[in-house]
Amino acid sequence: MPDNEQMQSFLTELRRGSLTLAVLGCLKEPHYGYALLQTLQSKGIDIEANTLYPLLRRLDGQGLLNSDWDTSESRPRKYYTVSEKGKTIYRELLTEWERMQQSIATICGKDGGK
Amino acid sequence: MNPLIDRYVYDITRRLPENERDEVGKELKSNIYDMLSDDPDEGEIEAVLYKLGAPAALAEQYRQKPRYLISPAYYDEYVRILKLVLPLVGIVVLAIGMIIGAVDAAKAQTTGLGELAAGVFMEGISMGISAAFQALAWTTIGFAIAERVGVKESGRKPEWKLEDLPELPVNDGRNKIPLSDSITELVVTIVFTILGALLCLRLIPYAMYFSNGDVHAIHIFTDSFLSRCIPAIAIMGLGGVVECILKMQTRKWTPLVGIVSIARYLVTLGVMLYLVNQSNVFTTDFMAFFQSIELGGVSWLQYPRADGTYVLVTIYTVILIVTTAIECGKILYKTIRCKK
Repeated sequence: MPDNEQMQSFLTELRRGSLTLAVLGCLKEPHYGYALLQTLQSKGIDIEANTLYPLLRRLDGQGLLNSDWDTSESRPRKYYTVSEKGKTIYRELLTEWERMQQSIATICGKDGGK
Repeated sequence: MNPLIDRYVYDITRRLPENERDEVGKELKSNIYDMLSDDPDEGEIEAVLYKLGAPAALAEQYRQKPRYLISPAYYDEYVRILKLVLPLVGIVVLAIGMIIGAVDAAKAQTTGLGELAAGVFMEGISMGISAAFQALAWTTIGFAIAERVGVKESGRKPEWKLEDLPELPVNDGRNKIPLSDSITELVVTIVFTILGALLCLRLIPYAMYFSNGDVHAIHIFTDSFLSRCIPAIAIMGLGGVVECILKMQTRKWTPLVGIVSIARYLVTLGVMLYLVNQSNVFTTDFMAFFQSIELGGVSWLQYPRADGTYVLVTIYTVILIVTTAIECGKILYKTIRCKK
């Protein structure tokens, strides 16, 4: 029986790459940090604020996102959208994701119900 | 702006590289306020901060380049300790080296004063420098190990409480007087005061040597001048110690610290001016030596002017007044900036 901590670390590892894909997918529409968190969570993605915010900053720093401070409202908010470079990477990741999903299905498909 | 949120954000940004602090801080604050209702109570704020988790862990996530010998999380502490340890180790070992050099010279039955002095100082300085480098190396290795061990531990979720968050610094840190600076200043003041007192009491050899085929030893200052120096050194040393202790207690450029520092500079200036303008400062031996050496034709340096004053004394007086004025100006500026 694996302990809880071990289970968590496996899950985190499995999700890590797909989070980038989910974030890039969502950011076809501009979002600010907390709105993106809510959108992701409403679509069933299990992500915490303390994972998402640093991830946004990292993707922004790597040039996958465009970001802008909107100061027109009472509090400034930083809005993110996916950049051209981000779009290219997003498409490649998505292709890879679909390919892997099929592979996993053929390998583990018969275990699906269990 | 809620102080708890400010402290939380500060506890994260202080662990990040300096050029990222402002931007990450702005982002975090914006995100945290988005997660709260319009008029949040303390309980709601606490819940959101606990949800975001330990500042150390979040800072770790934000760090874009985690490969450091010593990361920003430890760097301040590293520099603070080096500033404290290097001068202390250097000075203490310098003194030990000089004693060893003196013992060696005594064993070798060195008679020439020049040779003796050279041996003592060479031994002291070389031991002092190598000890300082050793201290630097070992401190760095210690921090590098702490860094590696610390990184491993941060994989687990560290326990933390809101009460652990540090207070915000009063200013941005520029107005503080670092404790390590004051301690270094205190050590240097005490060492030089004791050295000066020993010199004046003729308890350690005090002479000037020059080789002209032979080794000669001459005293530079007259006994009557040296006896007047003792109270002067005591006044300056005491003033320095009082100032250092005050700085260590307040650690800020408060008006009191400013006034005491300026007063000490003015007293030192007064004492120094009194001393350099004494008559009968140099021994006749030294005057004869000074006038015998070649100074590249600038003979006006060597002889008194018509009114009996020396050009060197005038130059020294001007330098003293100018440097004191500059130091007092700096202190005034720091004190005023701190008050803002």
